[in-house]
Amino acid sequence: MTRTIPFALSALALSALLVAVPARGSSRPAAEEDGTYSIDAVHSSVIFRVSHLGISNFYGRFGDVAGTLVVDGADPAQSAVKVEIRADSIDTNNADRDKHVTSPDFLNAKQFPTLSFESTAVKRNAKGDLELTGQFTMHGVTKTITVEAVHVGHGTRGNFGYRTGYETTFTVKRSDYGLGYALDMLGDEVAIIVSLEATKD
Amino acid sequence: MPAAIALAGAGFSLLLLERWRPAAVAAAVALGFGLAQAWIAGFPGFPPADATDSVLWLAPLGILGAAWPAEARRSAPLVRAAIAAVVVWATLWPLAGTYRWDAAAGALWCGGTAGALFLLGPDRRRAEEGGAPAALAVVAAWTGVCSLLAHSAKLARLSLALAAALGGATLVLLALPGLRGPARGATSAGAPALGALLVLAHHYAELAWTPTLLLAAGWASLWLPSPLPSRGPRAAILARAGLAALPGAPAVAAA
Repeated sequence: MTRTIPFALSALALSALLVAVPARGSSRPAAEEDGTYSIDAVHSSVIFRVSHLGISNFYGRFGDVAGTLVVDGADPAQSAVKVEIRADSIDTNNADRDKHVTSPDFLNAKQFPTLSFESTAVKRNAKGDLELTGQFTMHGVTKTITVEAVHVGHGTRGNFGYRTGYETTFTVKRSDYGLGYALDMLGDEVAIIVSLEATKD
Repeated sequence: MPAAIALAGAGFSLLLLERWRPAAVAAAVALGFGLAQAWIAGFPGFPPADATDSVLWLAPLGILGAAWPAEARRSAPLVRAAIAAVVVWATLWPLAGTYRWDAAAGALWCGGTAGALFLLGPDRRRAEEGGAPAALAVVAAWTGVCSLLAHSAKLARLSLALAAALGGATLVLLALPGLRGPARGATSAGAPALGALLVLAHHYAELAWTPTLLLAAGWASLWLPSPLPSRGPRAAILARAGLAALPGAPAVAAA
């Protein structure tokens, strides 16, 4: 009996813990505060992945991202996203290659200084993530795409103020955007990973 | 391969069309360049979204310049000025938003570039000189090398395609020296395209000022007196090409 009570207490405590702390990955953060948020470029990432020679995947990034998120938890259709990425902020870990990628061979960053996405419709899908449909513009060509944005988290942390974060991964065919150079060496499909942290205005 | 396509297209067309008017020769050079452009970067849409796809669409200007009647001497400079203005509009205007020029700066850039292209564009007498297409071909080739060093393979290959197309015309002129019509036709087609490629290399591929000005100096050598006129037309063509090539080496070194 004396050995059974501590065991029962331990089992009770463990059960309570399991109820209080949901398993990682199965939980969704509660809805963030409604309002307008400005993208924090310092804590946001835009990464792209493209096949090189069909042998490996090459990753690069854009360092300059800006824009706004409008969050309406009760009516997601009223939410909106506007993101602008400076083409000449590309970083492929090689200065000469950066210059080539921004040259007329690829992005032609002088004439088309930004890549952008502006939502036209927002809805919450069955998984609870946001489904954003909008106009994606690259190299002066605009196409309608739909991406799934996962809400990563939100809240106030230290002196950082109230923030929210979303992440999405989508794939575009660069030839659809007039970027057909060296298709025999670099893959046509480019995966773009956008992870945004935004501060509440 | 692009050079071979342009050279074959322009050369064969020239042989077929030589008996016709200079405008037909200009069309032949444009055809050679167009075939190469299609092979290099696909056939550009119209209107071209990317300014670097505008070069081929300037071909009608060259044909217009070549077709302008010889007796219309007073209006010829106006045609040259109009061609220079259209080249600037096609190549420089798309950057107005990017550079955020105010009205004065925009007018200065566009007007200055158009003025330079007007001065570089050979007048009728110089365009009819057998060595003019050769000189433009050499400058186009150097522009290609400099563009490559400025990290734009596309502009490099387009420049080399133009050089090859004008090279095709030069081969015909070397084979049949003394023909004024083909010289004028090829020069009229080549000048707007070369002007556009120089502007594109400088503003879009960030080719530095020094090589840009040296390349323009090679082009401006057409205004110098014809070298070796007493050695015959073939020697004059080669000498003209050599003169235009001189600033190219330092341009490449500075690119």
